Amino acid sequence: MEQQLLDKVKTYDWGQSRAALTEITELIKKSHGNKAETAAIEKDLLSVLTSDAKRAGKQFVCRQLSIIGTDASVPTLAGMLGGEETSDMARYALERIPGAAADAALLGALSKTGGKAKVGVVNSLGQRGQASAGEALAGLLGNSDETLATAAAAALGQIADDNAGKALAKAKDTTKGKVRLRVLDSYLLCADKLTAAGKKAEALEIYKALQGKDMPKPIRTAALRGVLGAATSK
Amino acid sequence: MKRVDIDRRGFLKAAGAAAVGLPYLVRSSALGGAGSVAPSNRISMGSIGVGGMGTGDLHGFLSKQEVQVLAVCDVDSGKRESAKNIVDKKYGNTDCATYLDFRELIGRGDLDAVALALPDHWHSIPAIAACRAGLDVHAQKPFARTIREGRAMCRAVERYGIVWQTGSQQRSEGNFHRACELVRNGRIGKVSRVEVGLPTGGGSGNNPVQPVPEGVDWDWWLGPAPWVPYRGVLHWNWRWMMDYSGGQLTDWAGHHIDIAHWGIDTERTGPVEIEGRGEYPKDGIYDVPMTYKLTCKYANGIEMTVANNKQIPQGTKWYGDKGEIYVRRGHLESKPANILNEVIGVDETHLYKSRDHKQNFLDCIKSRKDPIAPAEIAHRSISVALLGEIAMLTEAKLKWDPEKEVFENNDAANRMLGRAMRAPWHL
Repeated sequence: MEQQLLDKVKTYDWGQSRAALTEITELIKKSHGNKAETAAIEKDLLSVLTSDAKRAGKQFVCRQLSIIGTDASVPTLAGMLGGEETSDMARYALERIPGAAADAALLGALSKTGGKAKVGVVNSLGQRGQASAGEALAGLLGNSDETLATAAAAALGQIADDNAGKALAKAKDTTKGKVRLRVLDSYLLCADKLTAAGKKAEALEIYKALQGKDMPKPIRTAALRGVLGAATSK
Repeated sequence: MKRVDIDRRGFLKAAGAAAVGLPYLVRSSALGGAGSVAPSNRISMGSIGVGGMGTGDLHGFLSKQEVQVLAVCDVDSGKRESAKNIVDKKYGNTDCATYLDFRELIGRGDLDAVALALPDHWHSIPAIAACRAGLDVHAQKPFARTIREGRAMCRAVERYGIVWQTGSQQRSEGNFHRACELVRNGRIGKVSRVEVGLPTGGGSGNNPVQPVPEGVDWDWWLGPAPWVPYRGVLHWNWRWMMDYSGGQLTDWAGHHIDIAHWGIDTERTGPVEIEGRGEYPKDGIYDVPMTYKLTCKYANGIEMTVANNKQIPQGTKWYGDKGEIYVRRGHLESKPANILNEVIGVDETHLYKSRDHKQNFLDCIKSRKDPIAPAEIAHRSISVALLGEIAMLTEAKLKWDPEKEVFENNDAANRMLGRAMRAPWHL
């Protein structure tokens, strides 16, 4: 990529002409399928993230890396996960980059981030269905920050494997309010996944546990629907 | 209508009205009788998003005797207050509650249903939250901003037994219903292709960063979308920016693509192949395609072309080996012309009939049957546009598995099926 074009990204800010950015998206479009070319573009774009480019330019780069980013992008993006202004844009790219490197970067960020950034990391782990994060996420279910605990419950529902199911089963009796509602919803997702996998007996056990009189009405309704669904599934 | 307990309403949702004796399970007051309906027996609703479309929907529901609107929600206090005034004026009181945070409205505990009319990037989160609360939903099209969000919404609707009506109101208009019924019953013979024409988009300047209008909570407005400063685009024109919408293509997919699917019986599936080209603005704040043309192939061999209305006349046109049918708003024509005189026999396919879209939703809240534009069908309509958007962005010929909802031949395209949401938002 021409240095002049890269320099324009580095100085780009919202409200200015984005013609140079359009040129880059066109280059990326044309490079699809050509690994060497996309790797070169990726390297150039990463140089913007480590420069003093403005937030607008870095956000543009992260959007592009979400499409062409590889393991090569992960270290730089991982370094942005804790920043107030950079965390969301880094996740925008990382969440879409497949592979173990991105998995490890997100999991590693759990212990290094706080506040909204940490919630975002939890959300991305859930969206990726990252089973290796199950234990760490389960540990957040009892967190005093309701937003974080709710996000962890939602993420476990996305993962919905045996370990997630066990953590949610336990949490349904220990959590309260909004967090518990999300725990119950995610526990339903675990049962639905079991039904889809043909493990009806395990699924029915969960649905039964969610039909108690202490359960909120929508949960009881969904559990009853789950029972009917399991009965008719092949 | 006061919420009935799980043994009645809950079981009805769970089992489906068809399997049980409906009058036995729904209290008679909920079914509505002759004359006026007492407020305590009405379907209680809240409106989330009360801009142009939302206010239109609000008027529509307020005109129904069996509805009692209890609350409105918007991130623009001006819109919020304006909606409250409309409701209060209708009921002659000051009772309508107002909310900035949709979660508080959904969590009131006294609602039966919500009407959603939000920018596309805000479609999935409140919708799924409403499902979790057991609320029935009337939501404006397009169904969702991404395929992943749409699938999550469908699952939530299914999981909680929600009655969902999408605002694809053309389904409740006679000419569209008639066109689809004629096509479905073979009056133009074997269909080989469909053309769908949608509006054309436009460009813009590079709006400067500017102060957020008073009364608007910009962080709430952005919600799950990437953070950007306010640049003068708020109501309505958000639909020309990819963070919030896919432009005219996605805005109208829930109409004419939806009708195309209805005619060729592909409402609950999707294409297996798609490619497309779009002309995108090279500069300016708007970034959705101004012109576009997509070609999709379905497993049944039918080819569908979707383009802006400078390339294909607006509406839906089916081509069969015995004739053609073209339908758009207020217009229906066929070749040969006498096809339109055909009578659909009692043993032929009779499509779901509704002549009042909102009434159909309300009727289904009581019957627990699917409305005419349910979630899965709406998801499949918008999916064509979303797949087309991805095909245009990658400029690739994409092979799509409509069952697994993944591309079979393009990793970059698969990445575009969902987007990371800005914290703290998640599905």
